[in-house]
Amino acid sequence: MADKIREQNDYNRLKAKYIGLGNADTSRQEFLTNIHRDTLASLSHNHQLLLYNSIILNQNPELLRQSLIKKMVQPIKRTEKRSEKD
Amino acid sequence: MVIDNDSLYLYNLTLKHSSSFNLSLLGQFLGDKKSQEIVVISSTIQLLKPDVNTGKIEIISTQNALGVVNCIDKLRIIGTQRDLLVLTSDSGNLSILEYKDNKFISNYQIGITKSGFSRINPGEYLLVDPQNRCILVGAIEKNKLIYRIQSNEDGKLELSSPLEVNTKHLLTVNMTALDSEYDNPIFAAIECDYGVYQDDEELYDPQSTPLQLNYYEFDQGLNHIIKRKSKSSIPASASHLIPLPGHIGGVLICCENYLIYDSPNKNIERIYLPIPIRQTSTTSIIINHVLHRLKKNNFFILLQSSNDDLFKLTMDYNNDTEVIEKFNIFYFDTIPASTSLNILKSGFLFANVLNNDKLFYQFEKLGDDSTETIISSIDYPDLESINNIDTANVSFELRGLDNLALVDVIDTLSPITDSSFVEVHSDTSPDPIKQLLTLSSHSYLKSLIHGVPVSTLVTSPLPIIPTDVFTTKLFSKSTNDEYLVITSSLSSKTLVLSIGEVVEEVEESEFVSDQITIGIQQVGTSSIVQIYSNGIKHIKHIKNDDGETIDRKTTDWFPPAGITILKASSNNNQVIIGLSNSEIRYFEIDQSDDQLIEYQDKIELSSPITALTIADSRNVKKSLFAIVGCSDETIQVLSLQPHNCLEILSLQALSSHSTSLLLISDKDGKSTVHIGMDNGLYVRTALDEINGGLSDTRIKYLGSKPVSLSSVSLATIPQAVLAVSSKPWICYNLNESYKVTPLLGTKLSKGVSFISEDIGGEGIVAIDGNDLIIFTIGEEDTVFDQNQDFNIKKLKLRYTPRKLVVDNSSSTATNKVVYIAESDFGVKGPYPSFQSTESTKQEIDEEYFDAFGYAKKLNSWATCIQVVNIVNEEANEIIQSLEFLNDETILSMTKIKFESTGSHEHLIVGTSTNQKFLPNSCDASHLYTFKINPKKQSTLEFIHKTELDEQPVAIISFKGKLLVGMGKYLRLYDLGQKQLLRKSSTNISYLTNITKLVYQGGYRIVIGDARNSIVFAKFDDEENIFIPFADDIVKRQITSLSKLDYNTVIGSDKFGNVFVSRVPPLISQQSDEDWSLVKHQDSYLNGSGSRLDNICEIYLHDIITSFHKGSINMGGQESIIYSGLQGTIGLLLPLASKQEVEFLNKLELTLRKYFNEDDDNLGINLLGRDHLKFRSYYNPVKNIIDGDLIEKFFALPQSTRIKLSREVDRTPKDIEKKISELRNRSAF
Repeated sequence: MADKIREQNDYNRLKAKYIGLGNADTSRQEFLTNIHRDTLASLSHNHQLLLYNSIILNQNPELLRQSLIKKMVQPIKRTEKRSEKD
Repeated sequence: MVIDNDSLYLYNLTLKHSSSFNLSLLGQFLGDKKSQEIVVISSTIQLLKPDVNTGKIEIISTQNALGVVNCIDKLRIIGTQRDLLVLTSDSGNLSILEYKDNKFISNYQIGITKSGFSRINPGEYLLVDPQNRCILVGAIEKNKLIYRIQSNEDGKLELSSPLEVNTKHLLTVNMTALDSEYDNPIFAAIECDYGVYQDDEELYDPQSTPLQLNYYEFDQGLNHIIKRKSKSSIPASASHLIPLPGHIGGVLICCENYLIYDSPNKNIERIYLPIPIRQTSTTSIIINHVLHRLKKNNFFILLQSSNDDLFKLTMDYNNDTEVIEKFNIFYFDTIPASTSLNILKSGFLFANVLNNDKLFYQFEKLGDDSTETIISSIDYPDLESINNIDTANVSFELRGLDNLALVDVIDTLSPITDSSFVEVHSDTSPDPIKQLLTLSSHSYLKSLIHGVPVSTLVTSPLPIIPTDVFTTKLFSKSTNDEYLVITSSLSSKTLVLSIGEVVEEVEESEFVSDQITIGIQQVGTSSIVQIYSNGIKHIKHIKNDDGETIDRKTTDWFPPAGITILKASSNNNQVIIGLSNSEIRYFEIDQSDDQLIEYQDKIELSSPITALTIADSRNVKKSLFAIVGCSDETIQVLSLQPHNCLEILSLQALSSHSTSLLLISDKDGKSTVHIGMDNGLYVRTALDEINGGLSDTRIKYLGSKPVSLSSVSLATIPQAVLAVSSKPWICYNLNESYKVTPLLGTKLSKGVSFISEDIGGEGIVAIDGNDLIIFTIGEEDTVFDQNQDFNIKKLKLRYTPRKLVVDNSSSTATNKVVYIAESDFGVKGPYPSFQSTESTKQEIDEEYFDAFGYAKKLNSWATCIQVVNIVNEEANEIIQSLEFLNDETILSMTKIKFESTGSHEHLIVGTSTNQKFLPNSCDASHLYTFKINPKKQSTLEFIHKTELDEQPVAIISFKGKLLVGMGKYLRLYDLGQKQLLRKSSTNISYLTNITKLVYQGGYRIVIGDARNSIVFAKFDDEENIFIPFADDIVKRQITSLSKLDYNTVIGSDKFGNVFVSRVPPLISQQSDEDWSLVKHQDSYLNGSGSRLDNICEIYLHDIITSFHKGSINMGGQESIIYSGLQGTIGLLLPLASKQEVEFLNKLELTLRKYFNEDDDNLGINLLGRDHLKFRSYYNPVKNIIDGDLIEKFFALPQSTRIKLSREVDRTPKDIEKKISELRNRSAF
């Protein structure tokens, strides 16, 4: 039993250090949120992807970058989550 | 590597590096106190040096980073005079670079995180404390590291181990370093804590939910970081931070339409200041700024808004009470949107323009006498007064540049949205002009032609038909050429002209005028030698005390009777002639009285002499060798040294007889023989100074006519060779490589260099037909930029171009048109629709829109099609513009010849109405059909439009019908009277959004999908549908796709990967011969039954927008030319043999190994990035050898070259020859 608790503690410690770490109990929503955050971070970080999107949207890349980072706060809209539960 | 016989091996070569400068930074990297330089970062690290006197910018070094740079800043160790460059990159290192010996070299590398990118990897933000005490590296989420900067006993830089600040659930939107003078270093960040929004209770709205402003103070005493929140939160629109100079402290937070002053000192109240708003807009959002310090703590800030307007901000600060009295802001000027601005001390502004050429401005004034309304913070004491502001008080009217003046432009290609490779045949020249047409956002059609332009100064007809031309000075001390000698072999005449303000015939030259002149040379101090077919005339000028020529003394030498002089070569001290009986005679000049002394011996060669040369006297006093070309297709090296004069030292066989020879000795004493041959080849070979042996031969094909060479000297290149074949070329050495570049815009048969002050230095005088032409190299008013391989012509378009279709059908050389689809999101176009019948032609001020942009309107579209004629000599020309209204956008366009309607060609345009993104949606989709009218310059005539149920993203012509890819459907259409008629529809269930279609031949197509990579499909006649039969093995997001052969395609994805995929031979054969076998195969893993072979793979760090097959040089090997979004133009060259692949692979491995271990500061591995990992960023690199790395071989010192070449069992010369030969196969 103690092993299991230690394992859990180790997992929590690692999870705190490396965000996005998951295990068998990770919920679908948490997993999706993580993937979306990673994608948004990548879109805002890579210069060429940012340029690509900024040309299509005719928007300044710096403002687009910031709006993508802001999107990371709640990447999955509340309504989507609701519908998942239903 | 095991070399597979069947596979394709490619050699990647970047011809033009990415020119989208993500970052620019001003600093003193050369360590010169007076000058400032600008570093710009794209895929390369470039150092630009502005010339304060001429206002021109010069690129002084370009280094390929071979890695991805995230962020840069500068740093100066206390007590030194030079700035160091600090950067973070995808290697996970913090790299500190130093500029030394004309390049950046690595000074210090420290690993901060894993390589690659993750949202918690520090490196997204990099800030150096303005007092150079510490460096902060931040990630998008959670992590920040602070390094203290130290220097050890030797004065070398060292960084302490990092201090960490980790805050859970914290996203950093923007960061800046505050100037805190002697207090602890402080950094400010706009951040957002998503912990509160984790559960569904609270909803985050990016438009209104306030953000945090956090201060990070590095307590130097305690070696500890203190994080402090600002007094109150900041508005959601806060986007940019501007730190104020140290004596004031604090930070300006830029929000939509106003600024907030905030200070980490809690006792200082916030100050609010509205930003001026242009009259036609309702918002002003600051995107970047530049702070410029003047004398005595004075400073000003220029801010640029997302509408491109510049504002000048100043402040009234009471130095005694240390209180900010007020901020003032007013409209300054409007310049194109820039990613960064840099102001030089000398009064220049470098605008790192986002989507176009980079601009260099000079300040005419600082707006001190401006009549613009000045907005002052005193009138707006609190936030409420800002919110209730009357917009009339802050709006301003746009005007042309007032305070700034444009002085220089750096041509860039970024961003390239589409491109096409076009060959235009013209009547005037036998060789096609090859040009690469690129579309660039904001909004240009640029045509790139390999070559340098010339500017013609004089063209005048001559009384005789000239065959050769010479220039000479009269005295060895003169700098200017005085005589221009023109000779005609047809009429056996020689004409002597004097060069001055007017060109006129010289009467008293004493030259033989009824003979063909073979050579003219100034010899000794004050004599001239005219070598003509029947003798040599020596003319000595005798001057009086005033320096005027009073007398000319002539001496003659005649060949034996019946023998004529065929070829001659000479320099100041030597004359050598080749006679018609294959004899060589040699003369030297008597230094005391300028007379010619004939050498007693003569040599008779076995076959007639075709060319002859000795070195000119520019770098050597006396040529030690003569090179003779004979009609038996050899060249022979003769010694001119006293002990073995006129002895044949070596002999080399050629593929054809030489028509022109040049021997050039450079300053280091190295001699090169340049050979122009009858079959149009131009050969360079090195001459051994000791034994006269010839080695290291480089060959280049110049054209269909025999090559004639002449040595020319130009302002920027002292030693160049002008080679004339069917077109003229200029050849010169540049940084270890030898450039052979065509001259554009001129035609000539023979040219020589001449120097005259009247044309401002060096020029070239040439003959063409009956005309005499004088020209200089490089465009007017610009210096000849040797770094530019391409000559770029620009044509302004209306909106952001998206797609280019070339009309190849018109066979006439005077008419070649391209159709360009253009569309801009979020703006409203001022032009009337092409369908409007009203003939009200209202005047549209295009210049106004060019300078200030179109009016913005949310979710609106401005769209048009333009038809451009690209054959016009001077510039390309727009011949038709069709404007679309009703918020339509063009998604696709293709040219098609419908089977059912015969010979007429049509242009089909796919559009969608009210297109929105994230998520992708639209109200309606249409296909417009236009008829191409060949009688009216291939302009368009509207026929009808067809409504569709999904967006037609990809359309191509397929066996005389129109194939449309929309969503996951493939539809075939044929032309009808009122609309297009649907003939077939296929639903491929596992596709999501078809982005590209390629016709492979037969019944086969390739489908590119936005998510599911590529699928090969075959049209089944019986069932009238397409049936997919082979899928890719990697899930990619296709951006471009092109056919290589029936079984093979090359494509690229959104992340910068390029791949080649091929259908396995068995499947390919079955699909053609046993279709029912393939057709009924079982589906495998949610796809078709078989899979493609992935045969090549590489990461290019740019999103490739198009591929073309072709060769940039004449008669070169066909290869793949690609263009990338960030302005990259490159080449993928197929490798010819197994030996070649083996050798290059071995060399690549050796170089990789060497550069990864390299610590001898060669400036090659600047980022500490492993090359293999870089080229394998997403997928492991496969079967593609990176020429950019291979060419770094030239950057190595000789000793290392020898060491490395031993490892691959070759000599360094062999390797160098191979590398340049690979480049010359298809490019330059």
